[in-house]
Amino acid sequence: MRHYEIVAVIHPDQHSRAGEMAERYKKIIAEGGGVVHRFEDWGLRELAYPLKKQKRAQYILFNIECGAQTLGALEEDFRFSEAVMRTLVVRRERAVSGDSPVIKKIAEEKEAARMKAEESAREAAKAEAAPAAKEGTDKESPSAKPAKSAKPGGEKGTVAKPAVKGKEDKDDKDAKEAKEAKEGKKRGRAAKEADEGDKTLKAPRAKSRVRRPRAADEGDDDGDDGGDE
Amino acid sequence: MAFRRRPPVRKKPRGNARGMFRKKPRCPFAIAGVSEIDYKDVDLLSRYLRDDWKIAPAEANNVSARMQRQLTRAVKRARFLAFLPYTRRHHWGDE
Repeated sequence: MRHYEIVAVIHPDQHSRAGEMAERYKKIIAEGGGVVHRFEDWGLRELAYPLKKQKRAQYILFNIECGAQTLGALEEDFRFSEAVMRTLVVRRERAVSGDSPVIKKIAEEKEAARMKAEESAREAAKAEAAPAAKEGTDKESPSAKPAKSAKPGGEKGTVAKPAVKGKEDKDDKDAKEAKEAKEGKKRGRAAKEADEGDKTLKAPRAKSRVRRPRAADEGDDDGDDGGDE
Repeated sequence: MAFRRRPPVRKKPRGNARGMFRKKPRCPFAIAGVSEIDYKDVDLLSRYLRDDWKIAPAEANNVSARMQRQLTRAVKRARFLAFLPYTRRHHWGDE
């Protein structure tokens, strides 16, 4: 009996059947005398690149303890299942049961979304309460406030963001190209400067090499989705 | 015969103004106490990638050789599962 970690990428069209499939795999494992130490359903996630022309896919994770035959049966099931686009099977040294980083992040995002919703609800309530109190004195300011508080709650995901992100994209790309050009020059000089051992130049260079383009790349994807839908 | 003791020669601190003997910084994973890099932790992995999604060299992050090997394996697994792109130029078919 060995420990394995299995991640299966399931076609989004079979998204609704994921639970059913998971049950079937659990059954296969149980029949082979195996144990499921951890099961996680990550739901539909955005893919970093298209798989079978799909932009999203359903992920499930298993941490199991089973024999070679059971694993073979599972793998065969994956191979002949149309719904399973990809699987990764990794051997683990021991049973893993804690929450994975993925599920933690999903929970965090949900929590953040909830907090935001609560906050915007509170703001809206305030905005409603404000005009009632100030009705006689100010006419303009209460009417301006609700408009502001309504935006982050309602329109954020749909209309306002993609447009802004698109602009940022271009700026970021320009900035990135400029940065890359600079880095290229710097690296050429790097060897010479290393001999001289210039303290001040070395430290920032190490950082700049690793700087992330995350905002730009993700923005790209978002923009595309927005255009499609 | 009595001699006056010579004052002890103070050694100069290691490294000089030009940083000839700069101490190599420790591996960030050693500092954080991470012994195993999880391929599912995309936020962690993407910190060690370059702008073009290539894996940054170990020297760039002071990652130890052992952890760099782990990191590389983790990134490759994450790419296989489409958690991370292989390149900036994936063809999405609608551009």
